[in-house]
Amino acid sequence: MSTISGVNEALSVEDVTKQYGSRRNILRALDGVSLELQRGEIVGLVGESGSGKSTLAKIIAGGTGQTSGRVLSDGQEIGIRRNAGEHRRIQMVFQDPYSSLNPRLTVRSTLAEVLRVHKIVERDQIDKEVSRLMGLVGLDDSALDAYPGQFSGGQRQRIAIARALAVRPEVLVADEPVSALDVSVQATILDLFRSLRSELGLSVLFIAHNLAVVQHLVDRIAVMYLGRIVEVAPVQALFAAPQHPYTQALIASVPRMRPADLERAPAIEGEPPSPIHLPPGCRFNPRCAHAQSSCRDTDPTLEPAGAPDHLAACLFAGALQPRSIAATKESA
Amino acid sequence: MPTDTQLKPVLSVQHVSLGIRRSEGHWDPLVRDVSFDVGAGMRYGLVGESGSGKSMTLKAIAGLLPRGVEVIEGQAWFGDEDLLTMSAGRRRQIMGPKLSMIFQEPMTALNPTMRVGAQIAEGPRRHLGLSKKAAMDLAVEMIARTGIPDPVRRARAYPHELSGGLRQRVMIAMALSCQPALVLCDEPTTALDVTVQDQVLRLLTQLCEDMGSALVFVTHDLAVISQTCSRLSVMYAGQIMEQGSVRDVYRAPLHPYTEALFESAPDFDDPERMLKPIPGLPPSLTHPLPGCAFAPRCRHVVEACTTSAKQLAPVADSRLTACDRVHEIFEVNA
Repeated sequence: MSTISGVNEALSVEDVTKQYGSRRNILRALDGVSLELQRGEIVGLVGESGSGKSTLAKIIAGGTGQTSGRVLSDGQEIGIRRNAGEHRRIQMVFQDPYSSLNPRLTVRSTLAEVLRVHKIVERDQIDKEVSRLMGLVGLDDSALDAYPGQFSGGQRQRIAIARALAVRPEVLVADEPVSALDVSVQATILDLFRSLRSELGLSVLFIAHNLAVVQHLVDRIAVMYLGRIVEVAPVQALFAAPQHPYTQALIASVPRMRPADLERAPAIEGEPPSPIHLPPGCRFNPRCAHAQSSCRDTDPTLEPAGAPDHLAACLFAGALQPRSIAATKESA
Repeated sequence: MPTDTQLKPVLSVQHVSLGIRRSEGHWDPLVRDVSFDVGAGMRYGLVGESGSGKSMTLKAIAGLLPRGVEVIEGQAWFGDEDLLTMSAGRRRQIMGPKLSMIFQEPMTALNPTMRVGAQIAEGPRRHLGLSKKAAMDLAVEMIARTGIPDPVRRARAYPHELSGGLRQRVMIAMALSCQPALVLCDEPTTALDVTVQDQVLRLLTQLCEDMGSALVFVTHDLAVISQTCSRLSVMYAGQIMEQGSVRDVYRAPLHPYTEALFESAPDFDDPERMLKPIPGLPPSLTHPLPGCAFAPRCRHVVEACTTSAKQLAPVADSRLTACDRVHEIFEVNA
């Protein structure tokens, strides 16, 4: 199947699957995931542990290969074995800035090494480029000769981002980049992603489990559950009118700043089933408060729900009321 | 609304300072002059960023201070006994039946070689004098009360056979099996997914309510505190900056640090508000500042803030703040 990808797509994944294990016990970490990232767009990827968020990130960044499906950068398919140019286009920022930087290299050597290996600038321009990168991430040149151990978590994450930007990528894949940081510095890193998008036109795939953080940064959100995207929509639409019962439950589970009614039953019971023995039909049906018999027979696909850019994989999308809202009305 | 002054507190922490001894009579302070009271059945939050001393304070109360960290002064009264100077033998007698602890990472806190039912039954057998059979029945009942399906079978599982959420439920069952008067929790849900966190927080508050146990809850997550606790202390650089009921503090903070912390934290119900990071870094613990610890990062700072040490003082009905200028900066409703 060959499609002509629009020039505005910085990255797209088409029907990607990833399987582990032997013939009898197959673990489907990803089961047919498609997602595209426009130029200058920040897309959030949320879901519970084991939903496949990080596997998708690894496949996009080239850390591991997919079992089937395609990854396209700028409309061109990039394979499992990538050349330097293909690697350059997609860069990754990791969760833990304490383990992702080499403790024995100064900031200058960390950045200069990347510039040298990828031949980004002439040798005599390296110093100038290094200080340009420091400026981009809001760090001072005086920090260049310090080692990672001398920085705080937020500053280290800036160094990690500068290293990713050194090769002038088009797409940044950030896997939980603020989860290890204190609340008071999280906002500075979110601001940095925002300014990189407006200054460099960078596209960002932002993986996070904290919905309150995602809500502040991203343009669109994709919700993953057991290796599938179950809902994808612009951020306001997703939070204002979530269509998939799993998204509704996820939103109802977010701890709120205002003291809540603890008598309310949990929004969702149990934990995700084993990805080796997936339930028949919709994979969310065993935990779903709205499940009907048809949910156990039919595996729903992502379909437009309400608006053309709002997709949900639920047979009853559009017809469901979030349970928390229903419960509040009853008690009122 | 019961305040901690009306009832005799279960736990009364008085002027506790902790530090690392450098030489005779000289310490690097980690926690300075921390005082708070936890009433019977109350859920008390200790909130702060990394390095604020919240976990160290809890560890001192639990008798789990790491090697090298010492109690410089202060007491933690539990009934009429001081937990900070208690003998190891006496502590073993009360840990379980009177006082228990829930850790962040259940995989490292549970014994990997014992079935979880037997681990839960250990406390009741030793402290309540139950027979092996009765203790096992109690363990199964506790597992059932934590909402784990098929409790008889689950009691025979080893910790590695359970998911993170189930393991944390087992920890809770273990901590509450002897109906302690006080449960200490150190970030009990930080390692869990948001949906499982929601379930575990509800379970924890519900069980503590049923058993009449008080709770001290340490976390960095302001939203989690608001869902679980009724009173809190906000810690920064080893000191309590502000203390009060969760409702009052969340409605209108009375310390510039608390104010700044709320402005930097995302509020799920208010996505339009811009997040304001707190500029600068916390002060070094080894070179404490002569004045207010938050002064270098405070937007309301004046000369006087940097010279004399600040103390937690009452400002309004059961509210305390360590800011001298509280009446100039905030509107205080006494």
